[in-house]
Order: sequence, then structure tokens, then C-alpha cells
Amino acid sequence: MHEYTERLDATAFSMEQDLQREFEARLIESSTLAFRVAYSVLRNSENAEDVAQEAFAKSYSSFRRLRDRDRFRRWLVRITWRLAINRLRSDRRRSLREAVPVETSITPTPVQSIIAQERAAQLWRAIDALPDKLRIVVVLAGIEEHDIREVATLLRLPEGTVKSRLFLARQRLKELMQ
Amino acid sequence: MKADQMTSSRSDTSLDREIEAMLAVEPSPEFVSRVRKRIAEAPLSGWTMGWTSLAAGSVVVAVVVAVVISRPHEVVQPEAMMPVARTSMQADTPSDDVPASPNLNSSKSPERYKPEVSKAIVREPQMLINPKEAAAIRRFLASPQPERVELSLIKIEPQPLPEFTFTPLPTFDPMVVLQGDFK
Repeated sequence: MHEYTERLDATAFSMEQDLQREFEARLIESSTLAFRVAYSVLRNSENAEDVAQEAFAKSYSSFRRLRDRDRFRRWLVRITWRLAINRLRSDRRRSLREAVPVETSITPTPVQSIIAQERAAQLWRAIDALPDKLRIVVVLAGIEEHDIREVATLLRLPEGTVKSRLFLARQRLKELMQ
Repeated sequence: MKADQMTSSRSDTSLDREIEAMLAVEPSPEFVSRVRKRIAEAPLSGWTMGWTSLAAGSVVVAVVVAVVISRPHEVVQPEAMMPVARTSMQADTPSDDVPASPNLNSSKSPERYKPEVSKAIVREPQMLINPKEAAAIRRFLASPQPERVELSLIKIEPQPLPEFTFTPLPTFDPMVVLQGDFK
């Protein structure tokens, strides 16, 4: 009996270790994704990290049923987006938002940098003005160079729907940018 | 037309690049380690939650199964049936224990027996068993039973058969039917 209990304990321990390992792999793989999704809403690195961290903590508690990679990433995107939106609504420090990302590749000279900053701020405003279902498509398509198929998988939508939403979003952005 | 399309696709591409550049923000190097720390600090509710909820669920299922299994026995038990017959008897005939009075059927009577069975159990036998029959059976069972009679001790003397007397049967003459009788 004692031997059986010991064996059961060992099995449970190894299962838990397996889960921990899998979670670690998902964390490394998806940390940037969660952070960027949060950042696209909050525009503040610190807040985005907080939200992404919270999303990972939540995903950890439900990891047993989120072991599948696609499922995990889909869930993570959804929860991060929701948490970020909630955070934005309750956040009173909006004025401290970062205007542009810290590292951008289009800032060779100070003048161009100012122009780029202004352009980025304008684009963010336009993205913020999009309805949620178009905004998430634009953001996910812009993160890590996701293609249509990947965005469709993350949002659990048909590829055609993602394509049409992306098209609509671009049209709307162009209108807003003019 | 083609030029318009090309311009449009070029602007789409540049827009996509701009958005990509805007989102090309990396989390701080400590981000992952902070997530790890937070998860490590949090109690492993995630892992234990499954087991506890499973255990609680199985307990609830066991209780429900036990209740469902024990319920039919309650209906079949003769103890549960007896008060029914008693109540029906009381309703019809006055009991020997309780003196007959105008208040016998009133619910206010404190001595009256109140069976603790469900209404479903009470109603069903009343439809199947005639209250008078139930009262009669109950009275019979309650009456003192006679002592056992040993039949082997009883001696029956043979009685002589009555004398047989022969009486002759009556005789009849044969009938004669003539031709003109039915015309």
C-alpha cells in the first residue's frame, strides 16, 4: 500500500513537472505576443508588462486544459486583450502614455524622428478609433509578421473573414490618416 | 486602373510596415523572470484546484447516487405501508384505542396518529386497497389468535350408514303415432 502511494505520488509529481516544463516553453514562446497585444492597447511598456504578467498567471491556473499550443495562444491573446482594455478603462494615468515605441527603425535624423513620431501618434489614434473586431485583426497582423492564417487561428475565425476585416481596417485607417 | 491598384497595394504595404514598426516593442529582459516569480509565489491553486474540484464533485455524485438508490426501498418497505392502512381504517371505522367522538376526524385531535410518509405513498395504496378490507384485515390481525388445535387427538366415531330401501321406478307405455294425427 505504502509502495503504491509512493508510486502514485511520483507519477503525480512527474506529471506536474511535465506541465511546468510545457508551461515554461509556452511562456518563452508567447511572452512577446502577450506583451505586444497589451502594448497595442495600453501604449505603455510597464502597464503592458503588468497586464501580460496577469494574463500568464491566469493561463497558468488553467493550463491543464490549455496544453494545446494553438489553444493556449488563442486564449492568451483573448485574455490579454480583455485585461488590457479593462486596464485602459480604469487607468487614470493615460496622459503618461508613451507616444511612440522606444525602438523604431525609422529614426535616422532628429527631424525625421519628429516626423515619424507625429506619424506614429496619428496612426495610433486611427487604430484606437477602429472598432474592436477590426483593431485586433490589425494588431495581430502587425505583430511578429503574422500571416492571415495565423491571425485566423488566433482569433478562431475563417481566413476569409480575417482578410475582409483586414481590408476594411486598412481602408478605415487610410481614411482616418488623410 | 493598374496604376491605382499598384499605388493602393504600395500604400497598404507601407501602412503594414508602419504598424509592424510601431508594434515592434520588446518587453524588458526581466519580464519572463518576473512572470516566473509571480507564478512561483502564487499557490499552486491551478494544479490543486483540479483535484479538489474533482474530489468535491465525486462526493456530490456519491451522495446523489446514495439518495437515488435508497429512495425505492422506502416505498417498498412494509413499515411505510402499515400506517396507510391504519389511517384508512381510522378514517372509516373508529379504532379500539381511541374512543369514538365527534372530533375523531378533525385534524386538531392531538392523539391522532400522523404517519410520516410522503403524499405519493399515502395516495397510491388508498386507490388499491379498499379501506374496509384494510380495516377488516387489521382487526383480524389484532384479534387474539386461538391456540393451536391438535387434530390427531380428535377421535371421530364411525357412524352407521342409513339403511337403503329400493323403490321401483315408474314405467310408461310406448306411444303410438297414427298417420292422420298431424293433419
